[in-house]
Amino acid sequence: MQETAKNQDLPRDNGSRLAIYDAIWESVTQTGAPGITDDELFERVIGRLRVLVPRELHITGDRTYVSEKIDACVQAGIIAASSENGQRLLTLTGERPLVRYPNGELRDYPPGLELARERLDRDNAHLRAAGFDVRKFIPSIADDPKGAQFQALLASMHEHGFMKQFPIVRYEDGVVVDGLARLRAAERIQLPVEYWKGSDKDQKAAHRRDTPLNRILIALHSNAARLPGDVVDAVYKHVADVIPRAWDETAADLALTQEWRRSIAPEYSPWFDVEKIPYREGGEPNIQVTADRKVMVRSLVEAGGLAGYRVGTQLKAYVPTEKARSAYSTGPKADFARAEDLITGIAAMQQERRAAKRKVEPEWEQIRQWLVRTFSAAPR
Amino acid sequence: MHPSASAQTESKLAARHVRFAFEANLDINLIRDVEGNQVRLSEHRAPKATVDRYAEQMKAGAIFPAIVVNDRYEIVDGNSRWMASQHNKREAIAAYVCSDLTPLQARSLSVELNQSHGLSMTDEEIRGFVTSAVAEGQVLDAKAYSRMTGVKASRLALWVAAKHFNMRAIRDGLAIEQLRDLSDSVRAALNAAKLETVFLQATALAVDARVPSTQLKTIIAETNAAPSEAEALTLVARARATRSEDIKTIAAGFKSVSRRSKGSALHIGGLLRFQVADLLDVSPDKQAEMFTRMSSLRERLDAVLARASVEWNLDGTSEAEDREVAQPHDLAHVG
Repeated sequence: MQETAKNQDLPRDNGSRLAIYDAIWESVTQTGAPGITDDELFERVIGRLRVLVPRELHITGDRTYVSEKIDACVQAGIIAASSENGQRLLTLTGERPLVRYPNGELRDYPPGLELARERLDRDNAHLRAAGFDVRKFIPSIADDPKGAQFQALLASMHEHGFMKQFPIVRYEDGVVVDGLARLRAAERIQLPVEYWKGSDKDQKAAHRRDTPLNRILIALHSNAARLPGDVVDAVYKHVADVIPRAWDETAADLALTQEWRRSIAPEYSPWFDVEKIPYREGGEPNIQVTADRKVMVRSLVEAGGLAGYRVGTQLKAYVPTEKARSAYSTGPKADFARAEDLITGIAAMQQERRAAKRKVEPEWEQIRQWLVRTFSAAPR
Repeated sequence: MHPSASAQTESKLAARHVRFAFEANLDINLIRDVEGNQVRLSEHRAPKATVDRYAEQMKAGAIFPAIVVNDRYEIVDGNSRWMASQHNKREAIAAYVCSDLTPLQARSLSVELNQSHGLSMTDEEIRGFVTSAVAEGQVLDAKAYSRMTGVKASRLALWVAAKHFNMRAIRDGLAIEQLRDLSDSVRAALNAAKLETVFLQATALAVDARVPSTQLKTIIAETNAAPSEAEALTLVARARATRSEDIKTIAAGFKSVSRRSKGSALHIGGLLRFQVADLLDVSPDKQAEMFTRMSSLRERLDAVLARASVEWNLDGTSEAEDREVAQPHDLAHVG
């Protein structure tokens, strides 16, 4: 049964249970035998457990720990224990252990998932270390600037400009994997390039998925229609030389981990309990303040008579802030800052602006004085 | 920068290409404790004294660096800080939330961060982690792990090579019990053997004759450079033959007798580093004395060379190969 509960908790030793499950599954797959003895399982799993839970093994003892975890798996219905020739035989029941995906969902554990993730991580580390650049192995029509295809692209760009509906994805390190020909054509005729922006959420998702292997897949998939099979095979071979293991193995691991890799952790939103206090005596209370003296910066600045955008343009560089939601800020997360950081930050900002002979609105000093007066007493 | 943000932690995460987000107020109730988050082998997970001290400091307004969790909020680093916050009934704690950490990444990150600000792990604990990771098939970058753990890269490389030797010996069916006296450096030297047959024979030689690692390195380097497997094996057999007396002595339960040349070999090696011009560069007031001493040295060396040319088996064939080569102990299980 595919479970997608979010609130259920996993046992503390879930990592060890997954390792045991994988070891039995691997044994069944490799040997074809339906089960495995305790000793065989111990030999198969102990190496991995020494990495995962060395302290627990050290304190409990290797044999005792493994035995306890096998019993836990039996009790959870993941493993069935039977007797054969006086020996206990352990088999998988078909019930799978659960694993929490990055989006918080609990799902049935796909056999080998954790090991596949680690192998891919190793592949990515090899590719990074080698500075692998998939673009070197994928021909572009821009390789032949005088060729008919590149000339046609130039003509199209002269006619339509850079088509903004097809923006180019540029990674954080400035690398463009797909759209190189359009990029070079745009440079050649000095057209402004449209880069993909995406929402914050989309950008975070893209950032999380950005690995060397992911760039290789994007380069191959987005050019699939024009790339002949031998070019694709050559890319796989180059990758395999660097990794170093057969591309088919990597592809199998990519398939196994696909759901995991597509699962994105939800954005965390801290919640602050606030009360509202007025800026002037008898005035409307609209400055949000937490019990531990954190102030919602925008509410303070606006109450002090300055436009909210000045937080970003003038103050933010001087005050560490924390993003949170409260009962009164239901839109995007608001910036909160500790009162004492605001006092010192505003003073520093005023000093620097004066030194640079830039305008300093008198409201900043009034806001600072208000903070000093309001928070000079002991913590509320 | 937020006061709980840590440039050190951020640089370590970035160096590992770990994606992370700083969260100044992570709900403490969301954090999960899982087995394996503690890297020390000690019984007490977060020493009470440390937790109490942190809790008091927190109450007094001290700000601690952010803890580290994965994207499922399972704790990776900062157990004491987390427990102290719970002790103070705090609702939130500053944390680095790391995306998509594999269990192995989480473990190695724990080790690295613990070394920089926790109660540092002992060499034995670090070795346990490193060798387990090697046994799991991980390829460790000694320099990166040296940076992580504070253990010299050469030492880590030695541990890794020794672990590879152990794994290779088991794979080749060698009796581990008989290898227990081999030092890490000897294991590392043996592991450099390219050919399995050479590996087996050289290991047997190392056990039987207790060959020091410096000599083994030379033997293995020569065998690796040999033009054929047969010639490589001949080199090992010759090395065994020249140590036949040692082997007999050790087999009889005695320590091999040190050669009297042990001390002079180092000095001769040292002298060979000097060119003629170097030896002639002597201050005038010492030249007479030096001339006398070098003349004595020449006379003694002439005498040694005259006898050695007769008494030593210098062509490396006749006597060594005619002599019955002591058979290596049967390290390999027949099966």
